[in-house]
Amino acid sequence: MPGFKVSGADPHSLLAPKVPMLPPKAKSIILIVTQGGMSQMDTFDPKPELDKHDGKTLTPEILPGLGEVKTFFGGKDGSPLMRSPYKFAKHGQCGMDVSELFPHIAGRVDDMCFVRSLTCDSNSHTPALFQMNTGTIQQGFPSLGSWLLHGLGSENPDLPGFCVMVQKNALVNGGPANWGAGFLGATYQGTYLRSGTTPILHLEAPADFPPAAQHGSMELLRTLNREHLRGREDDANLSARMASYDLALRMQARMPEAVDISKETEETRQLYGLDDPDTEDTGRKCLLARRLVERGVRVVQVYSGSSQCGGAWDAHSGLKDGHRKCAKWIDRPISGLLQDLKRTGLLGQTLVVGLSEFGRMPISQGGTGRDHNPGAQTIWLAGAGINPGTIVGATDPLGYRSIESPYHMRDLHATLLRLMGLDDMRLTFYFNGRNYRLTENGGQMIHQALA
Amino acid sequence: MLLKPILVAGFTAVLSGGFPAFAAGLDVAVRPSVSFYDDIKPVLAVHCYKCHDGENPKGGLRLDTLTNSLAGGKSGDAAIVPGASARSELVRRISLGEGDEMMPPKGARLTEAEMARIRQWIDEGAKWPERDDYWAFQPAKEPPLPEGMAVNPIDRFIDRGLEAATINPLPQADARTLLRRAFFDLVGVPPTPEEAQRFLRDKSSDAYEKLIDRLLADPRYGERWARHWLDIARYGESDGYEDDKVRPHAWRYRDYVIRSLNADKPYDRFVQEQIAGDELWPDNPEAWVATGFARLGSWDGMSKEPAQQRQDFLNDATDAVGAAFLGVTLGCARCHDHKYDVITQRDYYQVQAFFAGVQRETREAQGPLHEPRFVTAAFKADSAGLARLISERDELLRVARKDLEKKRADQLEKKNVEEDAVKARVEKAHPGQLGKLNDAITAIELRMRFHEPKIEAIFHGDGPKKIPLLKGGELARPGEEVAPGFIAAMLSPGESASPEGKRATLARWVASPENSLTARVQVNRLWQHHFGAGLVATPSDFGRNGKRPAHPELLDWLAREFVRNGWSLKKMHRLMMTSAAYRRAASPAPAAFAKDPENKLLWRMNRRRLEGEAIRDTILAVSGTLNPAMGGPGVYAQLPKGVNVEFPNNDKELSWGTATADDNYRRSIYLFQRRSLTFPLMDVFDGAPMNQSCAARPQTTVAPQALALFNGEFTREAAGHFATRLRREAGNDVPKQIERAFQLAFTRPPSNVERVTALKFLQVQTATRHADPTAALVDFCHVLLNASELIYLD
Repeated sequence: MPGFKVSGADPHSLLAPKVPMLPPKAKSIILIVTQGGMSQMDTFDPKPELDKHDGKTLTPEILPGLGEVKTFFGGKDGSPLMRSPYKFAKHGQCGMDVSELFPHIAGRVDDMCFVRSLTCDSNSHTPALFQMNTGTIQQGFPSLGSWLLHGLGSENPDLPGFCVMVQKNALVNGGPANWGAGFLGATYQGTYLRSGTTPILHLEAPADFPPAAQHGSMELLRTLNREHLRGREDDANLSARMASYDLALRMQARMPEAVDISKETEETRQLYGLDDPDTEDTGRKCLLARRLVERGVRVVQVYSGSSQCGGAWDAHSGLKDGHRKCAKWIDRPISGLLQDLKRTGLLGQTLVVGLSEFGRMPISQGGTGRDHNPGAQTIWLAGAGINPGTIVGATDPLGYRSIESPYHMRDLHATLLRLMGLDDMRLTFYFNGRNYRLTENGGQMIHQALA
Repeated sequence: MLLKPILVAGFTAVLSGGFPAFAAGLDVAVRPSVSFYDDIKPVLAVHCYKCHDGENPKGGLRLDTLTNSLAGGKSGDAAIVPGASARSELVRRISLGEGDEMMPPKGARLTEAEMARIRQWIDEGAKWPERDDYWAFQPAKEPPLPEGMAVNPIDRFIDRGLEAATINPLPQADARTLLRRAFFDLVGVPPTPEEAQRFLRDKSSDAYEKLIDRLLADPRYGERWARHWLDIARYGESDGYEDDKVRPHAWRYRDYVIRSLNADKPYDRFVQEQIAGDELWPDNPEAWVATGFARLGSWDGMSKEPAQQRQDFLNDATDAVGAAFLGVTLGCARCHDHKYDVITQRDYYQVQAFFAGVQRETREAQGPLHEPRFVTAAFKADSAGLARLISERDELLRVARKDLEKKRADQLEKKNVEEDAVKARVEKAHPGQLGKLNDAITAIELRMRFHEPKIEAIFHGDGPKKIPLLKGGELARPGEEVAPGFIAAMLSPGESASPEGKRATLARWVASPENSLTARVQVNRLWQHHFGAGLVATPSDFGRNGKRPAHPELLDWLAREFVRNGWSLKKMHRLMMTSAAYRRAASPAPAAFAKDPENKLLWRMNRRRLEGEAIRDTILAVSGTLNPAMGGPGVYAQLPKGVNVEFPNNDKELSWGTATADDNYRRSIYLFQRRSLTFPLMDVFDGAPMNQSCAARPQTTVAPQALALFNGEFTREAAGHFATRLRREAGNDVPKQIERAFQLAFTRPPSNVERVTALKFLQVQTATRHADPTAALVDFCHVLLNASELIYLD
C-alpha cells in the first residue's frame, strides 16, 4: 500500500542534506515573531488619514466599500478611529517610514523589504499562529521549519536543524504545536532552547562518565533499542527517539561551543543589547540565532511577547505604553542581528523575517487599544534573495485592509520555500490517502520582494 | 527528487489532543446524516458570512436564515432549493473553479468534503432547525447494546465498528504486556519482579480482574491519577507572574485529590466539593480545601490595579470551571459571542456571577485535615522549638535591657533605653548569638507556614449577586447586568436558567445526572489515559471547535453507565480495562492500518510514552530508591547543574529550598510546583503548563530529552543505586545480575541476543573502566534506564 514502510526508517539519513529542487538563495532562515500582533499603523505603515479622522466612527464615507467591520472583541458598537500616538519619519537612502518606536531598526531599513499587505484567515491568536507556522488554522500540521528540514535536511549533523526560542517566562499560544512536525514525524520538529545562560541542559557528561565509557554505553543502548524496535517498526516515535540520542551525542561535542556567547566581544554583546535588562533576553536569543545559522542550523525561530491574554504585543488596551515597551525589547536586538549578519557576510545566505500572526485595527478598542486585524499586517524580510529598501503592497488609507498587492500567509510560505530552494507545489507528503502541502493548493510568489 | 515519504503509523500523537482528523471517510461512516449546526453553519461562517450577512450583503444575498437563503439575492435565483442541490445557486457557485461567479471569489476554496456535505444537506431537505441542538449538550441517549458475543459492553460497540469496516482487530497482548500496561495505567510505576510473579503465576480464570482490583485498591493509584487531575486543575504551588510567591498551603488541595481518588469518592461529589464545598459541607474542612480549586490559577501579586486583579481571578475561576468540569472552553465567550459555537457572552458572565461574591481567604481549619502524621508532628515540634528560641532571645534582650537601665539609672540619665543599644549590648556580651537566634527563628517560621493547619479556600462573602457583562472582556466597558445563571444551550427543557445565586446551585447543576456533558467529559478522560486518545480527541473541548466523538453511542453509553454506578471512577476504570479492546496488542498490522491508520476504531492498543513524572518515578522505582511517603508540602528535589535559580530580590522565602536525602526520592507528584521554574525533567518531557487547564499534554521527541537522561546527574545517580540493588539482590554472579536487571526494568528476562550483548558489554566496559566491574555495572544500569522500552508502553 502507498507509503507504508515496514522497515524502520534511519532517522539520521532523514536529516542528511538534500539537493534543493531549485537553486536556493538562502541556506538558513531566522523568523522573529512578535506574538500577539504588532500594530502596522504604529510601526511601519504610517496613516496620515487616520490622524485626520481620529475620533470619528469608521463609515463607508470615510472608507468606501467598507462593509461590516469585524473585530475579534466585537467592535459593532462603533468604536472610533484612533490615530497613532507615535511620530513617523523617513529613514535610510530608500526613505522608509518608521515610527519613533524603532530608532535602531530605522537605521537598517536599506537592508529590509517591507510587505504591508499580508493577510491571514483568523483573527484569533492560536489559529492565526497555527496558520503562520503551519499554513492551516488547525492544530497538528507540520510547521514551516519542519517542512524545510524535510525538504532540505540539516546542514550540520551535530546541531538540531530547527531551534525555537521563546521570550523568558512566556508561553506561545498553542504551545509546541507551533513548531511540531505533524505527520512528517517527530524527527523534524523544532527543538526548544531554554531562556537564560543555559539554553540546553546537560550538554556535558558527568565527570564519572568519560568518553570511552559513554561510547560503549551508547553502543549497548543502540543494540537494546534496535531489539526493542523489532516488531514495532511502524512507530516513528521510537526511531525518532533513537535518532535523538545520536543527535544528543553529537550535540554534546558541538552545542556547548555554539551556545557559548562568552567569547563574543563586548562590542557585539552591546550591539544586540545584552547590556540592558530590557533587551538582554531577546538580544541573547538573536545573538544565539546568528551563532546557530553560522553553524549550519537551517531554521531558527525567536518569539517576542507572551500568550497571556491581552499581554505584551496584544494591545487591546494601553497600546501607547505597551507597544513602546515591547518595541524596546526587540529594537536593538533585531538591528544588531541584521548588522552582525551583514558584517560577517552571513546575510548573503540567511533569510531574516519579522512577522506577527496578524495586524491590528485602525479603530480603537476601549479608547486606548487596538483589536486584532487579519486583513493587514506589515512584515519585513531581509537577507538572501530579498530586494532591500523596498515596500510591497499597500493598505487602504486607514490601514484596515490590504488593497494593493494583497498577499496571504500561504503566499509568504511559498516565497520563503522558494528562496530556500523548494517549490511549494512539489513539496508534498502523502498521508492518509492524499498529498499534503504547506500551502495547500499553492501560493503566489511575493515577487516584488525578491531581488 | 522528493523524499520518499514514510507513513507515520501508530502516531501516538506528537501532539495528542490536537492531531487533526484526516480520514474523512471514517467520519462519514460514523456520522451518516448531516447536521446544519455541526456541518453546514461553520462552513458558511468561514467562507460566506464575510459578505453574505449583515446589513449590506453582497449581491443582496444573506445566508443567515433559511428564509433569506431561499429568497436568494439580486440574481433572483434561490441560493438553496431544498431537496435539489443540483438546482441550488449556492452549490453551482461554490463548485465553479474560476470566473466572476465563482464563490468565494477570494480566499480558500471549500474542500471537496465540505461541498459534498452541503449538497447532502440540501438534498436531505436543507433542514435549518431553530435551536442549535449541539450533541455534547444534549442528554446522553441510552443506546441499546449492539448484538454480539462480547461480554464487556464496550466491546459490543467497538466490534460493531470494526466489523462494519471489515477490520480484524489484533489479539490480546501477552500477560507480561498486560501486566505492565495495568501497572503504569493505574499506579504509574512498573511491577516489582515479585508483584509480577504474583500475577504471572496466578492461573485462575480471573487473575487479570484480580490484578486490576489490587491496583485500584493500591494507594499509589491516587497519586497516579491525581496528577492527571492536577493538569486539568492548573495546579501550582506559587502565584506565577513576576514575584511568584509561594503558596504554603496549596499542597493540601493536591493531597485532597489523592485521598478523594483513593477513596473512590463519587465524581459528582468531588465536583460539587470543588465548586461549593464551603456551602454544601460547611463543617467538613476537606470540602473547604476543595474550594481552593477556584484559587489554583496564577495571581498577579504585584498588580497595582485591585479591580483588574479581582477580575482576573474571576475570569480564571470561570474558565477553570468550564474546562475542568464541563470540558468546554468558556474563555472565548469572556469577550464575545462565538461565531458558531453555542456559548454566549451572557452565559459566561452568568456563570461568573456565581463567583462574584466570593472571598478568598486563608483560614484556620475547623476540624481534622487528614494530613500526614509527619506534618502534624513537624508543626508541633517547630511550635515548641520556636517558643524556646523566642524565649531564649527575649531573655538575652531582657537581661541586656535591665543592665543598661541600671547603668543609666546609676548615671542619672533619664533617657529611655533604645532597642539598638540593647542589641548592641547583647552583641558585645554574646557575639553573633542574636543573629544566630534570629536566623533560626526565621527558618522555623518559614518552614512552619507549610505545616500550619490552614486552608486556602473561598467562601461566600456578600458581594454583588448581579454583575455587568463586560464588553470585550474589559472592566472599563460594563454592559447589561446579569444574574447568576447556567449556560443556556446546556439546559434541559423546562429548566430555569436563573436559579438563586449560590454556588451550591451551580455545583448541583454541573454534577447533575441530567447534565450528561459532565459525565461524558470525565469518562472521556479516563478513556484517553487508558487508550492513548479520547473517544473525543479534544478532551477539554467538547464545543464545536473540538473533534466529534469517534464512537458517539459508546460515549453516551459510558456516560450513562458512569452515573448508574454512582459516579464511581474505579468501576469505570475496571470496566474499560477489562474490555478486549483495552487488552489488545499494540503491534503493527498493515491490513488494518491501511483501512484505519489513526486507529480510530481501536483495532489495536495505541503505544504510549510515559509522562515526565512517570519516567522519573519509574527510574526511582527500578533503582530501588523510590520513597513511598505520601502527602505533605511540596519537596525541593535537587535541581540539575546549570539551572539558574533566579528569584526576585533573592528573597529567602522564594528560593528553591534544599532537599533532604529522602525528599530527592519522593514521587514526582510531590515535587514543588513553582510556576516560574518547572522542574527541568518535567519541562523537557512536556510537563503541564500551570497557567491554564491542560487536558492533553503535547508529546515531543527531541535531543534535550536524551541529554537529560543520558548526561543528567539524576539518571547517573539512579544507575548507581540500581547497580547496588543488583549486587544486593543477585550477588556477584554477572548473568544473575543481568537477569535481575531486565526483570526490574522491563518485567521480563533478557532475550538470548540481549543476554549475550549484555555479558559482552560488561566485559568490555570493565576493561574500559580500568578493571572496575562496579563502574561497568553502573554503566549497564544507566543504559537500561535510558532504553526506549522503559518509557514506552505497549
